[in-house]
Amino acid sequence: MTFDRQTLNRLYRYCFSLTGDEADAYDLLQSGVERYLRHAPQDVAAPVPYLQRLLRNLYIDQLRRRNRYPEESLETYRGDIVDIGLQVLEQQAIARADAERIWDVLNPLERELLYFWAVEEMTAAEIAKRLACPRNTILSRVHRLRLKLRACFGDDSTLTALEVSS
Amino acid sequence: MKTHLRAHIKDKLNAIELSDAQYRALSAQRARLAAARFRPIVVGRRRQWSALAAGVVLAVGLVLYMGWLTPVVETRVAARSAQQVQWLAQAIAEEAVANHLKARPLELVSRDMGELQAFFTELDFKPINSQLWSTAGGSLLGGRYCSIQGIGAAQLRFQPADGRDTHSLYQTVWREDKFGGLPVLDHGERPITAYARGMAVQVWVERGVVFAKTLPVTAD
Repeated sequence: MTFDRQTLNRLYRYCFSLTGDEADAYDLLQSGVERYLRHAPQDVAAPVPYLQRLLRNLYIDQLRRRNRYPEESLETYRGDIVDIGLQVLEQQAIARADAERIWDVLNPLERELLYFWAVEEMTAAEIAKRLACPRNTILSRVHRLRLKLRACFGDDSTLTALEVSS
Repeated sequence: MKTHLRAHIKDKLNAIELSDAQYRALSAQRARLAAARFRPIVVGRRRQWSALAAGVVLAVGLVLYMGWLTPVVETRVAARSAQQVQWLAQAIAEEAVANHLKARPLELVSRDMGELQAFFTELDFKPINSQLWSTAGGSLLGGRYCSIQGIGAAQLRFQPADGRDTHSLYQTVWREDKFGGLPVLDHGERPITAYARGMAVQVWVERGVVFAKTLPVTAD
């Protein structure tokens, strides 16, 4: 398969959402493309989602080797917070002064969630499908993300628009 | 002053792009690895299976050589030469035209056949000039790896002397099981011409190499 520049940039941004650093993102992209070209079947129907899963697994492997994988697994389902619904999350914006700091306070899986939501404009169900996890897991992640943003940047009057459609 | 979180994240990430140098490096990596995929990897237990398979092939060959199955083999070859060769040429033509029309970027841009021969290190043969088509018949533009009927092949691109559209010359190694029955120039046979998507393709074998050449398209 041939990756055009637009596709490679898309994958590069996804890598950046995981690593939070451009140089690390490029290294990850190089490793992922190499692994894809060496080992992926010739007839992959949807190469970009396939490669995104490959990049994600590769990155998690790297973090685990360095013992830097987030301690709180975002794959864990917590039923008690799912009843918040998505409507509650559709009201968050951020002060411009704080905007640049957001990226620094989030962990890789939180940044990844924001990437799929903001850049690829995916719904919670689509994100869940892409990451091969239950939709409720994504809702849990959104909930925790909102709590974290509130803790870092103040109450809901500071944050007014984080929305993830169902 | 506030900004929407979604808009901020989108703007921030969309501003991130590969530099020209990074893009070139990734493209070169892709070309190198695409070429490497043609190389068979034989390691560990696979090597043992390969040895076993080779033994079986030798045993079957011996049986055939002794003539025990000669009537069966002759029947199959005769059937192939009558109809299947035309089908084979047609399949090659369709594959060649599809590749030609995609006009994927050349992996090596060069007008020198020697350089191209040195470039295609992952193939089981050396690309060569043909009696029917040589670098003197037009300007060689370069080449890239491809495949014909699942076998690693070289695609050479030419600019005809008359300045019309470029055309492609595919070369791959001849194998009896894949290409048996195609006309052999060295035996005085003439190329087969097959047609696909409005283009003509000549197919032939020469010095142990299978050739497929797209012909210039005319409006007629």
